[in-house]
Amino acid sequence: MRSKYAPIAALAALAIIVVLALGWFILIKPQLAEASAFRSAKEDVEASTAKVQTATARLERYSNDLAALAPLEESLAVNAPSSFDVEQARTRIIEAARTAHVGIASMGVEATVGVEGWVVKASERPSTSVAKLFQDLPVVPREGVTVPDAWKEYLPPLEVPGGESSVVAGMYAVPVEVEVVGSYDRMAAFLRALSDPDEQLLLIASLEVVARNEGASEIPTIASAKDGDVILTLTGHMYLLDPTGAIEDEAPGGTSRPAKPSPFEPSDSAADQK
Amino acid sequence: MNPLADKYGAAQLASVNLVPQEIAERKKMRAVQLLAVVVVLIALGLVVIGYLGALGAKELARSDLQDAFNAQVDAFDARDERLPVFGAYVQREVSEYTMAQVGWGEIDMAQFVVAIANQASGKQSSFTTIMVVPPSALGASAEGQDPVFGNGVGVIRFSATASSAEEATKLIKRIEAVAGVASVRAVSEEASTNGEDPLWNVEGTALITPSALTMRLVPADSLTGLTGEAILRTLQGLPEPSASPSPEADEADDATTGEGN
Repeated sequence: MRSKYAPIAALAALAIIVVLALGWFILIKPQLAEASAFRSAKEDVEASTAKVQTATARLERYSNDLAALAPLEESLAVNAPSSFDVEQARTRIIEAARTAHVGIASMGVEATVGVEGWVVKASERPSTSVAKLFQDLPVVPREGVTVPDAWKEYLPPLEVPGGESSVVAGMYAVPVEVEVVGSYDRMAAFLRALSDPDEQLLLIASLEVVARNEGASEIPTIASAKDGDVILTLTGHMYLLDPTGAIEDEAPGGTSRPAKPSPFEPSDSAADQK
Repeated sequence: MNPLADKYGAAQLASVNLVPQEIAERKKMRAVQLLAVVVVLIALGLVVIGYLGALGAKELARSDLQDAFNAQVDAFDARDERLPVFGAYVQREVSEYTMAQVGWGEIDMAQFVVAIANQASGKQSSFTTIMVVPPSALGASAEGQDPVFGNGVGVIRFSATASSAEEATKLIKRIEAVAGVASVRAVSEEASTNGEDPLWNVEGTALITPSALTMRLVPADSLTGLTGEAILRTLQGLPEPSASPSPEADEADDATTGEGN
């Protein structure tokens, strides 16, 4: 028996070994290896998903924090508008002088001055922290998944700014010069009228009060000096943010003919008008 | 007697095997061969079952991966939908910095000038001029800064006439007491007369201190931490008292909390 059936048993054992070995190495093991690779890739993808979900939750919190702050838009629009209303500025000064009973000796608008915004390190800006939350890249497995085209070369939607720069660019100051004459208490009333908090900020950048006592030289259209009077000269800044510089010309077209009387004839004095 | 009969005590009869031994052995051989083939086939079957199992495991893992990837796509889409948060933060920074820069130098000038001028009301002293140079968005005036008398945010210059040097001293002392004014000093003094009356002319200077600033337009509810105090610290070159409540600090807190957990 041992001698007769041993070759068959040996052959059978060999065949079994060969079948099992071939089956393992050619059929089963590659499938299991791929399954393992997919599971490993899945862990990486899930880790990436968890990370970006954390970033999203943080963005949500930042958004809520921002929404909880008092809005600045209205105050910004009033105090740093994008255009300079010449008529409004003139009216404001003239009206302040009228209500305070001071005489305007001179006024004017000087050339606009560019204001360099305060320089800040990018790392100190909250927006930089927000930008950092958009820097995570997705894990895209090389095989095993269907990838949308947009995800094959995914780029972060934002770049993280570096260095330091001005937060505000495009800020300008329009210097307004005014010289008024009147009594001391009326000078104070004029300053109060100019600093109406509901109007655009007129930040006084320089101010000079000079005594104009009795006997001082006359100023045209201004009453003679009395002891205690003052001459107030101030330069105020009115600020603009991102002025468009656009010119609005609403004048109608057509032909203009010389007017009569001539625009160059001397105008009537205030005394003559009376 | 065959061996089995011997072993189990079978009847003492002679056994006769009528099947020829060759045929019996051939039959056994076929049975053994069949058994070998069956065993090999069973092995093959096991391989097929193993393969199918592995294939199933692979497809399951692939499906799980696809699900995880789709979840990742959704997560990134959800994050990128919040891109406007960045723009809103930049806009808020611009608003806060603009309001702070244009407004930090504001002084209630009507009140301030009157408070200074009132110190000379009387017969013993009077002002000839008062000049105030406050700070603005362009910066604080560098004029009047002095290593001994200190640095203010602006400068005041004045000319006054007193009845005597002592009265001039009293006037300087009274101006010094005005809120928002410090380091008042006469830079030039000389005696003169007004007819027969002796006079003492004083040219003086003083510093405007931060307490004169209204800070009305500096956002109290600040995202950037740009408070009035922070502005003045920056202008004076002082370090921040503690970590600012910036998102970085916030994130650091989160990280610390996470580690703690």
